[in-house]
Amino acid sequence: MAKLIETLSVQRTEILQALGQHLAISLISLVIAILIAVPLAISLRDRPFLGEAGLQVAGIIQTIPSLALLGLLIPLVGIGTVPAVIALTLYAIMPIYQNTYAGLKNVDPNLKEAAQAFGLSRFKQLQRLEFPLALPLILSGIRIALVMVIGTATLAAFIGAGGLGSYIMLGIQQNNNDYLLIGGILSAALAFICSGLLKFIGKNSRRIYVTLAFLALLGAGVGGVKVYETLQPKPVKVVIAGKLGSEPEILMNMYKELIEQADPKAEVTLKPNFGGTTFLFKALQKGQVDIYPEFTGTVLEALVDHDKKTPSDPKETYTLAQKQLSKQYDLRYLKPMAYQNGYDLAVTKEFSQKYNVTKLSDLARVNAKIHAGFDPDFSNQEDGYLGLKQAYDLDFGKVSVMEPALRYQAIAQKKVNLVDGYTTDPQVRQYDLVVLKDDKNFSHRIKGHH
Amino acid sequence: MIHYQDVGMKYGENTILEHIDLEIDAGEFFVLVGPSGSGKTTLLRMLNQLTLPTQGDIYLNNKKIKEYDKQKLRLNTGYVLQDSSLFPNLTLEDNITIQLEQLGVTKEKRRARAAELLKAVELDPEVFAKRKPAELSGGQKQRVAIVRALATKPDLVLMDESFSALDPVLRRQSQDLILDLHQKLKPTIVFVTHDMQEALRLGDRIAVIHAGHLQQVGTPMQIMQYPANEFVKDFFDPECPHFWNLEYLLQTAYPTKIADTKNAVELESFDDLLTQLQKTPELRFTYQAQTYQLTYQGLLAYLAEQGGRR
Repeated sequence: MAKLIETLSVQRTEILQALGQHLAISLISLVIAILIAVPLAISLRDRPFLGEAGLQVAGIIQTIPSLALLGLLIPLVGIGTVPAVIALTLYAIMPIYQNTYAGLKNVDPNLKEAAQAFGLSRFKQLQRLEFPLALPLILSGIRIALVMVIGTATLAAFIGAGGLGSYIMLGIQQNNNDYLLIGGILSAALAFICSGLLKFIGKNSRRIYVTLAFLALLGAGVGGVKVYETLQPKPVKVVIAGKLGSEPEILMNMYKELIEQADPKAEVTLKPNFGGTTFLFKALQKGQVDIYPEFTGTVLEALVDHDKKTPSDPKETYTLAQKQLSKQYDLRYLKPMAYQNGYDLAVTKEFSQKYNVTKLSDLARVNAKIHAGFDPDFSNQEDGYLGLKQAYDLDFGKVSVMEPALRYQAIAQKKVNLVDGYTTDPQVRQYDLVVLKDDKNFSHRIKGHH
Repeated sequence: MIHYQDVGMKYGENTILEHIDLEIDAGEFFVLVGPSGSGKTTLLRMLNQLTLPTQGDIYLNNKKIKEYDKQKLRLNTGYVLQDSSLFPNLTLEDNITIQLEQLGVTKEKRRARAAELLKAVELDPEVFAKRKPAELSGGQKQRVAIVRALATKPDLVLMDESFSALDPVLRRQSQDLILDLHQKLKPTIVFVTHDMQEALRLGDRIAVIHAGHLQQVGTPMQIMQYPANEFVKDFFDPECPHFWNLEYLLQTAYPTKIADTKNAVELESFDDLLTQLQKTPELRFTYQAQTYQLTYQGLLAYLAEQGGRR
C-alpha cells in the first residue's frame, strides 16, 4: 500500500497524462460515434428494412475482437491515436444506434399520426415529438457506449495510443501490481464518474444543451490548436518505437539521446510499450515508426521467409536477416549492438547451492528434481528447450508452460524451481536468481535494429 | 363548402365506402353517425388527406382536396382525436400552438393566443400554460385538445369520436363547450360519432352511414320524424332512450367489476337486467366474459341521472 502511494506520487505527472489521453481518446470516439449513429438512426427510422439491417451490421462489428480490429487497422491508418479512435468509434456506434432506433420506433403511433394530421413538417415532427420522446433511451445508449469505450480504450496502449492501458500492460509485463491497480482502478473510476455525470446531465434538457455547447466549443478549440500546429514549420521528426518491457525502453531512450545529440533540431518521439511484434512491424512498413529494436532470431523466424536453418553463428544470423529484410521489405537492418541477449535458464540461489548447479551441463544430474516454468515459445522451439534437451541431455521432471510475464512470479513464489528468460531480464537480480552458464555455447540471439 | 361526389373507398377486396354524395355548408355543425365499422371515420379522414378515396372526388371550396398542398391543407384544418393526443413532452402552451409554431408565428403571439384559448375553456393560463399534459385530468386534456384544433382559426374543424372516451358527465360538459365555441366562432365542424344521442344533440344536420352506404341526411327533427328506412328508424328509436342499453350502463360507475363469477347470471340486454334485478336486491351478472355487481339502488340512481336531465 505504501508502495502504491509512493508510485502514485512519483509518477503523478505521467499518470495524469495517461488519464488525460485515456479520457480524450474515449470522448473523441464517443462524440464521433454519436454524430454517426444518431443521424443514421433518425434517417432510417421509417425504413424498417434498412433500419434492421443497420442493427445487424453494428452487431457484427461488435463481435470482432478488439485486438483483431486494432491489428486490421494498422496497415490502413497506421498506429497511435487514429486507429484507436476508429476502433472505439466502431464499437460505440452499436449501442447508440440501437437505442436511438428503438427510442424513435417506440413513439406512440397515435401521436405520430396526430403530428401528421396537424400538418407538421418531417423536421418539426422529429424536433418536437419523436426526438424528445426518444431522448431518455438515446442517452442511456450513450452511457452504455461510454462505459464500454473507456473499458476498451485500455487496449489502445497496444498500438501506441497511450492511456491507462499502458499501466495495465506494464503491470502485467513487470509483474507490478501497483501499476495494474493504478491502470485498472483509474479506468474503472473514470467509467463510473463519466457515467454518473452523463446521468446527471440527462436529467433535464437545459443541462444537455449546455453540455453540447461546451463540447462544441472544446472541439472547435482543439481543432484550432491542431490546425495551428500543422501550419508551423516542422523540424526533422523521428519516431522510435519499442516492445513492452524495460529493455526496449532503455534502448529507445538511448537512441533518442544519441539522435538528439547528433542533430539538436531533430524531434524524436518515443512510442513505447507496443503489444506485439506484428503491430510494430506493420507500423514500420507503413512508415509510422522509423526505428525499433528487433532480435535477429525473431526477424528470421517470424518476419521474413527463408528456407535455411537459423545459423548458430551470430554474425551469419545477422547477415542473413539483413539481406532478407532488404530484399523482401526494402528495410534496412542496422548493425547489431555491442551486447547480446539470448535465452537462458535460471534457478533460485537456494537451488543452485543445494545441488551445486551453476552451468547447464550440471542440470543432467538433477533432471528428476526440476520443475520448470517455460514460456510457450521456448518450450517447443528448436533453439529453445527442444534443442537444449539434446545438447545437454536434459529431461526435466515436470515442465509447466505459462505466460512469459508469469514465469518470474512463479519462481519467486517457489511454484517452480527453474525458468527460461532473457539474459538481460532485470528480474534475475530482483528475485536473486542464478543464471546457468551455457558452457557448450548453444544459443545466441542478438539484438538488432532497423 | 364541402362536396363529396360519388366517393368510394376499397381496401383490397373490402368495400369500405360506396357512392357517397354529400354537401356540407360553411359554418355548419355536421355530424356523421353510424355504428362502428360503418366507414364514417374514413369519410372524415379524407378531408385532410389522411386517407385518399379510391373513387370519386371531394371538393373543398370548389377545389379538389387532392389538389391542395397537403401541409397547407392540414395546417388550416383543426383536428380532434378520440384520445387527446397531446404531446407529453410539451407544455400546454406549446401543445396548443404547435401549428402556429410550424407557421412561423413569433413566440409572443403564440403565448398570447395560448392564453386566450386556455381562458376560453376555463383553464387559468397563469396556472396551466406551463404545465405538462400528465398533470391534467382526462376532461381537462380533452378541452385542451379542442382549443388546440382552433389555434390557427381554421374554417374547418374535424372531430373523430372526440368525446367517446369520456364519462357521461364530462361528455355532456364537452358537448356544451363545443356547441358554445361553435356559436361564437362559427367554423364548419364535421363530427364523427357512433352515439345517436350525441348526434341529435350536436348536429345542425346529420348524415347516417351504415355498412359503407349513406342512409339519410337531414336535421335531427327530419330524421326523428321521417326516418328514411328501417335502419335509421331503429337506430334513432325514440321509444328506447340511449341509456336503455346495457353497454351504456356498463360505462358508468354504478355497476362494479368483480372477479368472483359464483352465482352470476349471463345477461344479453338491458331488459334482461331489469327482469333479473326484480328478483334480488343485489345482482351478480356476466356480460361479454366480465362479471359485474349492481344493486337496485344503483340502477335507480343511474336512471335518475340519465333519464332525469333530458
